Amino acid sequence: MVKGTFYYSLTDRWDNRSSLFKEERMNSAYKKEVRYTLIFSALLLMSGHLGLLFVAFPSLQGHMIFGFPSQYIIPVVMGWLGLMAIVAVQAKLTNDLDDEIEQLSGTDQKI
Amino acid sequence: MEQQQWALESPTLGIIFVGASFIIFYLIGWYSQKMAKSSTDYWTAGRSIGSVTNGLGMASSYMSLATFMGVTALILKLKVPFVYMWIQFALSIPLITLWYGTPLRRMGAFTPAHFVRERYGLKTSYITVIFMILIMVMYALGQMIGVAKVFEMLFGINYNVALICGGALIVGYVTIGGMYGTSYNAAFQMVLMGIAFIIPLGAIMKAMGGTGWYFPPLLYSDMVPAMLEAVPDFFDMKYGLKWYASLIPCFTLGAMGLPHLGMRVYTASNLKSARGAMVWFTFFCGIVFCSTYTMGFSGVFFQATSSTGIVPTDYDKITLILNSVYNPAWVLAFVIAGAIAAGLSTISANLMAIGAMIAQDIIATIKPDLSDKTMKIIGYLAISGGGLVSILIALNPPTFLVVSILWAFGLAGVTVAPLVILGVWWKPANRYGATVAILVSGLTYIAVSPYLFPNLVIASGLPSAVGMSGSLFCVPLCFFLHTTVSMITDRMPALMARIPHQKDKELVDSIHGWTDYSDERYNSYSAGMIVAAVSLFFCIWAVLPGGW
Repeated sequence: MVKGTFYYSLTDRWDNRSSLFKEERMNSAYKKEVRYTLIFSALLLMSGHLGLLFVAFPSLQGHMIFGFPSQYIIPVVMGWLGLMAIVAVQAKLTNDLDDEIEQLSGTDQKI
Repeated sequence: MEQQQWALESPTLGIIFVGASFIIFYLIGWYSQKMAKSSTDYWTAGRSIGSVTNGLGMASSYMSLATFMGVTALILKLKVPFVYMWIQFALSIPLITLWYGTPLRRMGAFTPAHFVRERYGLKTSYITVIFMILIMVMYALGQMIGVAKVFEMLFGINYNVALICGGALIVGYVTIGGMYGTSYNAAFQMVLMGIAFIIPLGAIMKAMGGTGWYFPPLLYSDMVPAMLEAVPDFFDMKYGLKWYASLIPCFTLGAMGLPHLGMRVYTASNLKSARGAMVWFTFFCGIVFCSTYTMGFSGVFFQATSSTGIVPTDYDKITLILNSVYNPAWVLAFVIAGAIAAGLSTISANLMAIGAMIAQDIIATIKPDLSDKTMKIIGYLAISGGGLVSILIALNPPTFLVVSILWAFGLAGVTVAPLVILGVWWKPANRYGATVAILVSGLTYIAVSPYLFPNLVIASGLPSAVGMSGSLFCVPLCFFLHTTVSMITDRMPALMARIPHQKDKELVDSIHGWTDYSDERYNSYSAGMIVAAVSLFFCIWAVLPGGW
């Protein structure tokens, strides 16, 4: 009886700990989801709207880079190659996050 | 400076190129249609499109006649500020995938309107669908105008005849092909238009004396000193902070609300493939967008240095005009085929979205037990009806074809994007907030555009015509109303008892992939207050005088 109580107490504690651990991981995955969305939104907006920076800070204009005025070539290159780099990282990290959420939720939805 | 009537010298060549490309489009459409086993396959291409094909398809839906003709026309008018306006369009698919691509796929939604129906109920979804159909018709309108102008130059015929013939050909092709046809055709069209745009552009640059003709998107810096001498203000930023800031609500958020772009995320075989397609999309988009800036640059230089004047009504034809001046006739004929491919791919996507909304989001909700065959017939009718309406409106076109397209982006940013973003990410967003927000802000956007009440505008000129000033005010207004009305009604038990709010909140968790519900996720009132306060600030800033 004593042995049984001890055994059940151990398994209960183990179950509680693993459930707490799972909850913690779920909470962390949720925070990661929100964080990724906000960070990548900011990065994407910055890469596509660098013109705003040049109009807000006119002293950045007029420098020549690769033979073009800075206010022209930087937004053009960042809006293409810079954006591609950000999107590649975004795809990798959000794919991993989806896998994590699906694993925690115990689903394999193959969406 | 003399003015010239621009037309293809030998229409036979043009007819051969355009005819051959149409035969290929029809064959791809017909073969693809055979693969559609059900109406769901028809709308989503059986969710089987691979990432490169889908990336090409995504870019192709975007590389419309606006890119081929409209962008260069407005670069001719506005110079470099229009380039800034265009750069940010490449953000659309990455932002859609980031903010609601995953949740909407999990839900199995065809369009954002489908999501609105599940999240906010039938009444709000009908309002959304009406706005979305208006958006798609205005978008298709710009393409129809472009197709008519290409046919006009190709055959030297009257604009109206060109519009009716070109429009009928295109609507017929879309109706036959469905989404399989548009997806596979879009990939082919993207390749065709890319080649038809970039290679002849290299030849134009070489003829103009540029040494970087072998890579037109970026290598034209040696032409910059001559440009600065001919047009000293070409690189000037000209406009104020509001002009550049309004690009975000009007076009970046606007693109997020466009159903035909979202549909590309849903046609991928899985979400990882959709994200792979997103990377390809930015690559293809970037290379063609950068080439259009070069074409605009060359057009401005040609306009400033040549003795032949181009009247503003011919600005839309500058890509074709440069090809007719610097390249042989067969190249121009090939470019015309590419331009038609550009218009075709976007009109296809627009009409498919209209068809999907009418068939799936209206008819299927009113009469859910219709047979699959009836639903397909309704889809065909909706597509051809949408095409017919855009042809009829195009009989009386605005000066620049891109104006109606950009205005449509603004309306999408005002009505669709805030509802979907808040609906996916904020549980307190409820049906009352959504209905009030979409109605008030959508109608306000239409009212403050210069087409209805010319004196009731927030800014004058182009920012008003393309909806930039309207959306700088109305997008934050939509966010403000949605958050505040939701938070206020949430404290009225009598009202909340009339809607299944708990079920709506559970939906938010499930579309994010959580199988067990937690009230702590996506449920922050502080976030709602911050969104409301920031939105109110931008609403006030938008109506303050000056800054444009």
